[in-house]
Amino acid sequence: MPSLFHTLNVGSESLYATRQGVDTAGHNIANAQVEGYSRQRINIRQREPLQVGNLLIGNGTYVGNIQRLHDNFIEKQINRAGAEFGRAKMKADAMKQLEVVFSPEMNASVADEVSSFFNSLQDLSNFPEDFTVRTGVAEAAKNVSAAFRRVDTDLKTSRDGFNERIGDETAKLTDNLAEIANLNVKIQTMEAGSKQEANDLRDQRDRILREVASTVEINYYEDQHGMVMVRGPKEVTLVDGGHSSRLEAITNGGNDGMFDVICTDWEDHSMRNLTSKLGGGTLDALVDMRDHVCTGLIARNNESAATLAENVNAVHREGFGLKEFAEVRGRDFFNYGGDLKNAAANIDLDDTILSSVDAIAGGLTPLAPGDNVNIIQMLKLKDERLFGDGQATFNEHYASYVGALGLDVARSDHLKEATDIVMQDLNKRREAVSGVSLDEEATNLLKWQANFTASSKVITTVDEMLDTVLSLKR
Amino acid sequence: MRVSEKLRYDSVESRVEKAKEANAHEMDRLSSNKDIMRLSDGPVRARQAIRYRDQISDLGQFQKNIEFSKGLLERSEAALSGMGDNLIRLKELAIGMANDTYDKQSRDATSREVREVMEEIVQFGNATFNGRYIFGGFRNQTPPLNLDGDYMGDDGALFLQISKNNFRQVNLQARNLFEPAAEERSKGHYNMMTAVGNFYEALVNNDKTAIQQAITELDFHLEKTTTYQATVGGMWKSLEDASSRLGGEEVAAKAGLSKAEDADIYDATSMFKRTEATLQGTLMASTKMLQPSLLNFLQ
Repeated sequence: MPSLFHTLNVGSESLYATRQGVDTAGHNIANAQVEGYSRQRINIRQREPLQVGNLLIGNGTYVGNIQRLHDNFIEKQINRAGAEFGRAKMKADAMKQLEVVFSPEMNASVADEVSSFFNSLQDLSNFPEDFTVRTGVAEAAKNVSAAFRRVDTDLKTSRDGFNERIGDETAKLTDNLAEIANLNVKIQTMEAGSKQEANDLRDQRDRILREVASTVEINYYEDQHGMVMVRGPKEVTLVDGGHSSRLEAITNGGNDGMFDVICTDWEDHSMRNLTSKLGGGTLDALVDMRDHVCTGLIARNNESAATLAENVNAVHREGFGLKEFAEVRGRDFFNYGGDLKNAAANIDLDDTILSSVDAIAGGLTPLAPGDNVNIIQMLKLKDERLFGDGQATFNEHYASYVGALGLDVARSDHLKEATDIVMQDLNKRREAVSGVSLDEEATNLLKWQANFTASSKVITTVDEMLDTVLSLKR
Repeated sequence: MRVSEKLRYDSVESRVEKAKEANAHEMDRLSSNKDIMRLSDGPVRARQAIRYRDQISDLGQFQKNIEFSKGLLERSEAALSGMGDNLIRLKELAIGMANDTYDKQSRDATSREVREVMEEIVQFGNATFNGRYIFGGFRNQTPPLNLDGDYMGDDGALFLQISKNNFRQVNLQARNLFEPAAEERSKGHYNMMTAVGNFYEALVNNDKTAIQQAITELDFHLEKTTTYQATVGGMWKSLEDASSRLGGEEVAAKAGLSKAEDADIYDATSMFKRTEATLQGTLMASTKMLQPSLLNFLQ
């Protein structure tokens, strides 16, 4: 027959377990708004019964373990969708930035300036000998050049911005990988020999994994010691147990000095260039923006500038100017330095015209100040299909590539919204399993509090009983 | 489904965010009166807008060109008609002076008037518009005509663009006005000023036959001047037609541009009201939803 002390023990263990229940509820409430926290549940188990004679007597309770409520399957889905979401979001944000460069709201766009330039030539065709009108043409041509240069600078600034961002993201990624390796070790140590999972550390690791998954495409699995093994794009090992690889942004001279993303493992070998193989995530979007979208637009702008300059020059070279230029021909109008790759960066009015507007060649006959035949030839360029491999006039060409950019922006926006909805849905499902509900915790508090009171009652009752027993012998 | 605390707050946040965004967008539409503020608001319409804007700027420029040309032609017309009046006066004088009733003295007196008329014709021939000699072709900075009768201009034809792919000549090539063509010369015609000069000489020399010859020659030049005047009239009329056509095109292009980028103001207003109501509703529902928790009822 167990003694009163056994009963006392049952009471105190119950007291301990219920206190632990309140504690866990408190922990949940404290972390209710913490990103990546999974709610915890205390599992209280019955002790094995005592056999006394042929009676089996209940032996009270103990705290079995504290479990985090977590669904690995949803977690994997979130990480997979994360790569898509990270890419779509970054791309949409970055496209928005480029869109501003070509905004229709801006009145000084390249198309507007080219229109004004041709209008100034129209004026010149009315007044070929007028100094003021000639100056107007020179100013309009300077504005055209400035507009080309501004677009070039804006695009290159954006591209540099994306490049820097690649550097930052890469550094952050390396830190995160190191942190995962670090947590791997901690989790293994803490879980060794216990049946309890290191809940809070695992939450942290999951959170960092989610961050990594939104930056690059990854695969991962957990080994028997509770460590995660992370592989990146092209099966590069990113984390193996307590080791993590380094991702570095290294300047590539071949690509205008832009960064390449190089993965080096913890023993400083097997360097691999992942730049064009990132497969998904923020980094992939940044590389795409930098190496394709920006570069493509820069090339288009260069092509437009060079084509305009060359065609205007070809006509202009045929004509005669005024005064000291009334009998000499063969002058260029624009000067872009002859380098197609930097045409938009270098384009400007030709030096001779810059120093004297008399050099503008309006006529096809020498010594004829009123001759506007050559201006008419230049005006005809406006409606000639010279751009986009001879498919379009300047304005059509501009409208079509800017329109295409607009479509890309709209498309990337829709993609972002779509992946956002997927992500929100997955997060909802995750929250449904792992999220903390205050109502629930309030109920738990009530439950454990009542239990605690009752358990105390057991102890005071035993105390009274002991008093009774002790008072027997007086 | 279990609704966790974080989910509640997150969804309130994202709903309010969405409602605010929609409301701000409508506000932008309403205040800017434009549907297309960014390319991505409507890439196709943005593209149309770029084209319409270019077209409108072209049309305005063509109108300007036409206005200038009309001015030039009006000036030419005035000069030609002045020249014609003077030639008529000369012809009248010649017809009168060819009569035997006049003697040397009256012919001398008339010769002085003829001299003045000659100078007037030169002035009309050297008429200017905006500081350029309108009958000089491309050599428009130097006077094309003098009393000697030689034409000093060239055959420059001034073309201006008056619509897409349409360049129109807007000046007169005046060489033939002042100098007879080779064929006419072979029939015995002279330069205009030479003809007038011959008449003057005939008066001074009191040469009746020469005066009679001058009548036919003056007639020839008068007719030529009238032909030029008619040409100018025709050019002016066709420019006038082109101008009114451009006006119509401009109206159409402006309507197109407005359709491409302007907001439908009724739609924008009603959408603004609607999104505003949504936002207020969301905010109201959110405050109500965030309040209650079991904790509030536990005392």
